[in-house]
Amino acid sequence: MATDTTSTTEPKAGGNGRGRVILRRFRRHKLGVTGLAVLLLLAVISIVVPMIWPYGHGEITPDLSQAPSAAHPMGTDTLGRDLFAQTLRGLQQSLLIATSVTVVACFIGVTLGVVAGYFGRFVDATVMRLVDLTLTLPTIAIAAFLGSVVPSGGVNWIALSLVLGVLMWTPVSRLVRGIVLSLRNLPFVDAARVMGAGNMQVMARHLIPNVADHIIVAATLMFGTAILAESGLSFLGFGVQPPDTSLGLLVSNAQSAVLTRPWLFYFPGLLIVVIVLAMNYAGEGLRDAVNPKASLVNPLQSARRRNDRGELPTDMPRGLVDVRGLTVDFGDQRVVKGIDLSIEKGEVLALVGESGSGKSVAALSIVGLLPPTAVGGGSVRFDGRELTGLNFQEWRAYRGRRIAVVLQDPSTTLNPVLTIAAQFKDSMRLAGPLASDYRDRIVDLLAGVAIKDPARLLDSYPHQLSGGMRQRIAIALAMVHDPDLIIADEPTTALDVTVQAQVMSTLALARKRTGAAMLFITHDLSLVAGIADKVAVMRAGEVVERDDVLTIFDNPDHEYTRSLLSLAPSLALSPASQSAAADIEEDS
Amino acid sequence: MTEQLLQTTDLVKHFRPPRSARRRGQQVVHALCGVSIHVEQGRTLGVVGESGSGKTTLLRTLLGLETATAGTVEYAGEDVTAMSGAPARRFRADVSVVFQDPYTSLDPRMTVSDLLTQPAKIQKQPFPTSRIFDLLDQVKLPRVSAGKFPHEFSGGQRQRIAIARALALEPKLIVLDEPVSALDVSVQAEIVALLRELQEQRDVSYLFVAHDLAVVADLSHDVGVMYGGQMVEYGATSQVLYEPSHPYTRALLAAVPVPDPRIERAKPPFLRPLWPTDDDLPKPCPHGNLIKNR
Repeated sequence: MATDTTSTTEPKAGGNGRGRVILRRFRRHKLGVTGLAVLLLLAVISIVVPMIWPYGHGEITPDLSQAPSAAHPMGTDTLGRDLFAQTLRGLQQSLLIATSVTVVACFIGVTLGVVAGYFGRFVDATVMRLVDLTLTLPTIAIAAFLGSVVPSGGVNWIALSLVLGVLMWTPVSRLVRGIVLSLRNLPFVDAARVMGAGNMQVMARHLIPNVADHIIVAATLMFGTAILAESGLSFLGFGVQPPDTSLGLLVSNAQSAVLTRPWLFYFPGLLIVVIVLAMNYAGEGLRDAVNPKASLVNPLQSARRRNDRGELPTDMPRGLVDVRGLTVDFGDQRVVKGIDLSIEKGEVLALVGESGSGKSVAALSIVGLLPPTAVGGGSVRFDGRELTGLNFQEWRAYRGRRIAVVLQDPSTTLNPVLTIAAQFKDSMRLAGPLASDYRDRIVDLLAGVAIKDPARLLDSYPHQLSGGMRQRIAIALAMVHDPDLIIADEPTTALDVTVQAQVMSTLALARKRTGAAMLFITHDLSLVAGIADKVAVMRAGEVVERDDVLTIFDNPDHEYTRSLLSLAPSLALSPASQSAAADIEEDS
Repeated sequence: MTEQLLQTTDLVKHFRPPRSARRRGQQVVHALCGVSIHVEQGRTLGVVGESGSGKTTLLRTLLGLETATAGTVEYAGEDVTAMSGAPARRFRADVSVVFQDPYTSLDPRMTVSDLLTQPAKIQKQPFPTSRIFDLLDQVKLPRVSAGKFPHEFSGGQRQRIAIARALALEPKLIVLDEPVSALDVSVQAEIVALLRELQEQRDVSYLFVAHDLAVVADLSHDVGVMYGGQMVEYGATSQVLYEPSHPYTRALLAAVPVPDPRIERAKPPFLRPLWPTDDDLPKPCPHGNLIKNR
């Protein structure tokens, strides 16, 4: 079909894996298979049936304007032509034209889009100006002009689809260029180039397959548009001319007769709807088939927000935070399997575990920030109050004010379009009207996270700052309301070691000054040595060991804790690192 | 006597900012200011530096992904930039790369078997199917992985696939660009162990780039420390670790967290960078402006 310009040429080149995988995935997509079957069936009918049907599409019979009957199943028009024969001919023409238009437009659009996006610079500039130019062309005027120069009897479908294709390629090329621009900087493109792949290979083997699903969507939309565009052009005299016909032409001719002779309108109209629908479903199936990440099941289908809670604990809560039997489920999978945690006022608890151990999900459920597909259960009490089951308004009293969160990636947690001062202002307004000396307060907060010359920073934007600086600002933002608990979720993972050391010191300093408790989440046990009072080690959704920091490092109880300790990369045994630390101590 | 495999001499890469940025007064970026390294057969050179130190530019330039402003890259005695035809193809087959982020360095639309076959296909070399299984065995992945897509694996497993792909054409040198910094500590240790084992078995050389000295030191025979596009320290691993001569190396060493609460608590807080300080600034680029900033 039309959309196959990019996807069926690919599997052959893709070698042993890709082609078969796409076919297998497509076969599982029932709606897509049905759509494709309907299209193929219509194509076969439009070719085979006219050969055996007694009336030709231009043949004039004595039965004028007849309603559908046994002899003329779709009736006849005012000239007595059999509508069924006409519709078949129209179907043939429309399928042919829409397919070839889509092929031409996608071919031009994809080629120019990939080339522009991949090479960039002046190639990109040239192609984009060409797009602008094409968009300024008045389609109607061109069609009218072409209509006046074509020989009588219309033009053949090749000329028609070339003209339409040239007028319709621009959206595809813009779409493809945009995606390629973001793809070309990804390491897998560099990897291919390092292996010695040339530009053509990179574009054909890596870029086009990665935009294939977007191209397919664009192509299915274009297929429908092409059927209608053709009828517009035909109406203006360019394209299919009577006595030949197309579905679009049949419908537009019958518009005036929709009340008196409705069959003339409804039969070809209905057929257009069926074709476009079938095309969309086939395209959807193909799109999901070429994208291996597309899931064929809807993950949200069975999501509930909370488990039936059962009994909540009624005894006195321990400490500031008391978590009992906390569970988190994703579908059938239980990622947090009933853990208990407690944090005293002013205490630092480190939650250590590898990715997939459920540590982040467990920590985020303390502030009620579970991803939409997760289902939580168990009890979380904060300062004596049960937090589970709070609504959004009730949460607001806690989030940001009493419980603050510092997240992993400082480049995405700050709003890129607001200045640093504006982000602080937004947070400060939560507590009521802004004090007149708010800028001084921000400067104080920034000085509190060891930022040199903070006043200069107030009017800059996040992208103008380094990663370490951004993370310090995120910490300062967390301190705005003097929280009782700070949740720090891998706050240094995205940073260099030297910057990591600085951010860790800053975090410790800021926490000490406000006396807040902290839940520090990390996969690196050596990182918590300097900051934690207690350590909980998590593995596969369970807390396997929980103890005082010295005990964890000196006498780890659990096998897993021991292996984590032995694996931590460290220069602990090298005298250099210690003497270096000592040197610095002397210097400062 | 070990064979000299890869050598850069006084490699310089300066970037000219786009015209709009130059109008706002942005200066030429001195990403590499005369860097010389050498990698010997069967040995590992570790290059350490923070983001912006030029370590990634060094890799990209010697792999030919950027063109050098000045200086040379030699592979087995031949200038890489002047290579074409058969020697250039041999360089591509002999030198492979593993990138930092295993989530983006593998084409998401390719199955594992396609990914592993890819280098041979690009080089137009024969590649029997059994070789796919050999490679999977070597990086300790189950053979059923061959038909799966990258997103079906964890980060550590994906990095194993990337390493298998790098091994596909029996390379002499593998360039490792922060191969473990996106991974958990426990997985980091597994990958480092795998790399060491492969080196022992196949006498392959590594150029290992990372920001964490602790990770690099584990695997490297020699270590170079980069700052601001310059190699501030270069020598045998033990010398760099135990007798660092440059204050930046000492700052890097001190920043590595020690898994011992007593030592960590005794450390003074690092609130500012330990180097450079206001009275000890890095040297300016010795090569000056090699490209005009107009």
